[in-house]
Formats: sequence, C-alpha cells, structure tokens
Amino acid sequence: MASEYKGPVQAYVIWIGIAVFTFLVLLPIYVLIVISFGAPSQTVATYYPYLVPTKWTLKNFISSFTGIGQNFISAFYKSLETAFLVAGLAIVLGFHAAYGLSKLPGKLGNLIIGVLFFSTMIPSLTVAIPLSETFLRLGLYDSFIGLGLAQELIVLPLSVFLMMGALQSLPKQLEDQARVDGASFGQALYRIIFPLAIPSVIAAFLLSWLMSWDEFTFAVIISPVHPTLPILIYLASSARGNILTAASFSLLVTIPVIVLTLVLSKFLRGSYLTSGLVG
Amino acid sequence: MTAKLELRNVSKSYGKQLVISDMSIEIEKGELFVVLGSSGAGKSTLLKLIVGIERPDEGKILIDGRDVTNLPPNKRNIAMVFQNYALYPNMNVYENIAFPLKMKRLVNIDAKVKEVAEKLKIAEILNKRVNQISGGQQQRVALARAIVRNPSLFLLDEPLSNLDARVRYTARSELKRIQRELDQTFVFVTHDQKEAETLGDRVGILHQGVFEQIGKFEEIYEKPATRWIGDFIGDFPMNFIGNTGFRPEWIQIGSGPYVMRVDYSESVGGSYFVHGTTDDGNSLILKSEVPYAAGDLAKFSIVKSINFPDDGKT
Repeated sequence: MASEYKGPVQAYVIWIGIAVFTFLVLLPIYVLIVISFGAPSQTVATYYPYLVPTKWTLKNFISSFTGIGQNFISAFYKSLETAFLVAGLAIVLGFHAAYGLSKLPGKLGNLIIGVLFFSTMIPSLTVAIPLSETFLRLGLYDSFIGLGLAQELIVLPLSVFLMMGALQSLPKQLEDQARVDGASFGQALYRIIFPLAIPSVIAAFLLSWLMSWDEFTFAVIISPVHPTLPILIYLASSARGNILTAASFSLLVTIPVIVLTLVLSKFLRGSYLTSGLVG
Repeated sequence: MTAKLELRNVSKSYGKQLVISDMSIEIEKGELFVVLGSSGAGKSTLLKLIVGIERPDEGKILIDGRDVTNLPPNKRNIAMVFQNYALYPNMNVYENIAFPLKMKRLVNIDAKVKEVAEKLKIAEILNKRVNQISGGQQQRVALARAIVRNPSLFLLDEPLSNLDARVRYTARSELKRIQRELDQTFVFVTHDQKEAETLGDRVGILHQGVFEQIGKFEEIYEKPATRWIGDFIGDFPMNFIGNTGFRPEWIQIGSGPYVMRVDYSESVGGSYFVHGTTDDGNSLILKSEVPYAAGDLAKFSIVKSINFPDDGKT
C-alpha cells in the first residue's frame, strides 16, 4: 500500500535537481561575464584564470567595438531583420499549411509532414553553395531576404508540425458552430480557430526566430559581406579578432533572446485553451 | 419568419455505412418536432444534413420552398445548438451571443444581445468567461446565441442531456415556453422518451436511418407501427404473444384464457406491474391493482391488442 507521503528527502530532491540544472545552464553565461568584464590579466592572460576576478573593467567591452567590432550594429540589425522575416514567414505560411494538412483524412497530413521533415536532414552546407549561385543571379546574395528564404527551409517543417498538432486537437464542432452562426470560411478560420491556436503559433514563431538568430551555415555562405551576428562573433574570435570581443558580443547576442522569450511567454501558457465544450 | 422544412429522398452514407436512407419528411411552420431514436440511429447526421455541415449523397433539402441543398451553413439562416454547446472559449458570454450578429454585420448588436440575455435570465453573467459558468447557464448562453439572430429554423441536438436531473426538468419546460413565445420551428433530437412526450407537437421515431413512424406521442404509444416501436416506446416494452402485441394495461388480470407464472411484482405509482413468463416462453409484464407473489399463477385476458404481421409492420 504505497503512501503519498513524501519523506523529507523526496521533497527536496526536486529542488536539488532544479539547482543543478540552473547551475549548468548559467555557468557558460557566467564564464562569458567573467571574460568580458574581468581584467584580462586575471582571465585570459594567465595560465590559471581566477574563478571570481577581483579586478573588473569596462575596457574590454568598449574596445570590442573597434576594428571588426565596428560592424556590430549592422550585424545585429542584419540578424534581427533576418530572424523576424524567417519567423514571420514561418507563421504566415505555416499556419495555413498546417490548417490544410489538419483537414486531410486519416494520417495523410502526418505522412506529408514526415516527408517534409526528411528534407531538413540534408546538411545545410550542401544546399548553401548551389543556392548562393542562384541567389547571385537573382540579386538575393548577401541580402537578408535571400538568407531568410534559405533559413525558412529548415524552419518551416517544424513550425507546420507544431501548429498542426494544436489545430488537430481543436474540436471540429467549434468551427462547425461558427459556420452555422453565419461565419464565412475566412471568418471562422481567423476569428475562432486562429485565436485558439495562438499558443502554438507563438511557439512556432519563437522557435523559428531562435533558429534563425543562431543559424551559421547558410549565413556564412549566403551573406558573408554583411554578416549576421554569429558570423561576426566567429570572425572576432579567429585571427582577425580577439577572444574578449567574442565574449562581449556573445553576451549581447543573448539579450534579444531573453527579451523576446519573456515577452512571448505569457502567450505560451495556454490558459485559454480550456474549451467551451461540456461533457 | 418561421419555416417549413422539407427533406426529399435524402440519403447519406459514411463509407459503406448507409446512415440515412431515402428520407422524405415535412415539418410545419412553428412546430416543435422531436426526433426520437437510440444512439447510432442517425439523429446527429440528420441535423448535420439539415444545417449544412454535411452534404447529402442524394436528395434535396428545402426551407420555405427554397432549395438549400448546395448552400453552405452560413447561408441557410438556421441556428443549431450542439449537444456540448460549442461555446467559443476565447470569448466571454456577451461576445459569444454577439458573434452571429457580428458575422452578419448587423446593427444594434448591443440592444439585441441584452434583450435576449434578459429573456433567458443570463444578463448578470454577460461578462463572465464561458468556463466560469455552470452547465445550465452554458446551455442558456448557447440558446441565446441561437435565438439572437432570429433564424427561420432551430435545430437542437440533445440539448438537455448534459444537465443534471434537477436542472433538466426546469430547462425542459423553459424550452417549450421559449418555443411557444418565439413561435418558430424547432427540430429537437433526443433519445429520451419523456422529453419527446412532453415537448413534441409531433414525434418522429428514427430507427436505422428511417422514420418508422411520425405522429403525436400518444398516437404512437397507442398504435405503434412496428414491433420495434412497440418495444421501444413506453415505460415498459410491449408484450408479445406470437404476432399479438399488447401493453401492460390492455389486459384484465384475475381470470381469462391466458396464464403466466409470476417472477415478481413491482410497485409503480399506485399500481403493480407483474413480471412473469408463459408456458411457451413469452416474458410478459402485466398491470395489476393487487400484487402477485413469485411463483403464483396469474390468469389474464387481453382486452386490446394490435396484430403485427410477420414482417414486423402493421
């Protein structure tokens, strides 16, 4: 007869787990902070770097923006516009595709999505070079539109899959009821179905945005002249730059991610997924 | 605007399964017509065909003489209340009721919503979310949403089955009252005989995709058209000896040519219903003013009966 009573040990196990997990996640960020703001003599210039430096400085951070670092603002902007294009396209194209697929009989929709996922198994590198050749001819080379379209390939199947799942779990009766109540097909889709699928739409948006923000392979091949931020960080940490710049920029790269996640998190809770159906 | 609803030779199959079979029926203006049948008889399919969510394989559907068979649901001007109400979860009560008016871009929405809410006594909950109100209130919101657009026809799919017994009783009489007040045509689907009996002007018995009998409930009770209906309708199933069918109260117990061995007596209302078996194996239920004990022999004569020929239909 198992008891529900949790002993003192079991009650704390979950807290210990959370603490360990948080520690592991925050540790790399901590390292970045130390390298960015600690005196180089205590961090990168010695054999035994201090775990907690005693001398802090803003000089590393400020000098990052010289040399290669001058391009920080334009790279930041490039990453930003590409990411929003990718995420926007993902939900506009993806939502309608997901709706259509969710209406297919039986498992046909899932089958099609499975096939589309297959395409994401192809390494980006093999596609990137022929793609840039075509883009050169189309005038899309080095543009955020070209890069966005290429990244869309990776991002679209997952977005469609996420939204399809949500749409399939919506009761068909709500849509029927809307039509009976006088809604046209479009009105039923955008006034009833779409609002109820919003958590999945936001999730797809966020995931696509993140995948684009971090994306490297397409970015370095299709858009090298005006690079995105990950490319800039790479250049900064190789021979032409230095590790201090790389660390500072890496920290900055995470800020939009945190902001966006916080802003969108309230839509992800799905508290208004509770259905109006009874019984 | 009330409607005469007409189905002409309507058939519908799902895959190989024939659900509605060559059905023709006319429902009068202002009538409360009840479709009574057990699960799987095709009741929900029938409603879906009328409202336009499904298309018939064959046949026509006419409202007030207008052929709506090929019209989508939003052009038929029919209101439907689903069994589980299908309230829009992302809107509150007011917005749910206003929705049909918004879709048709009507004016004076606020006044109309408030008027219907008053009539159905849900004016106080207009700004609550739909998952914060009780089942009975949800049902009234669904009804309000249907009524507010003044449609020519109302379809209700088992609207009382999700309510608990106490609420169901009052909701039943309220529905009747609303229908009378609105003087509109209602088609009401249920598996509950009591609802059919108390609410319907006419009742249609739906069995295996066909209306086996249509008429007033009392008429169907007294003169069932088929053996199946005799068995299905009534507090107790009809008794059968061979092809002769008779209701428990259509006999005189105490003396007569027939005999049955009693299993037990049940007391219902002021009378007794005696369950037993005849020698040739028929299980019968007879109405009696006095109880019989198990093992007794009860003699009875049949005062009234209906003869069902071998194919099961009179």
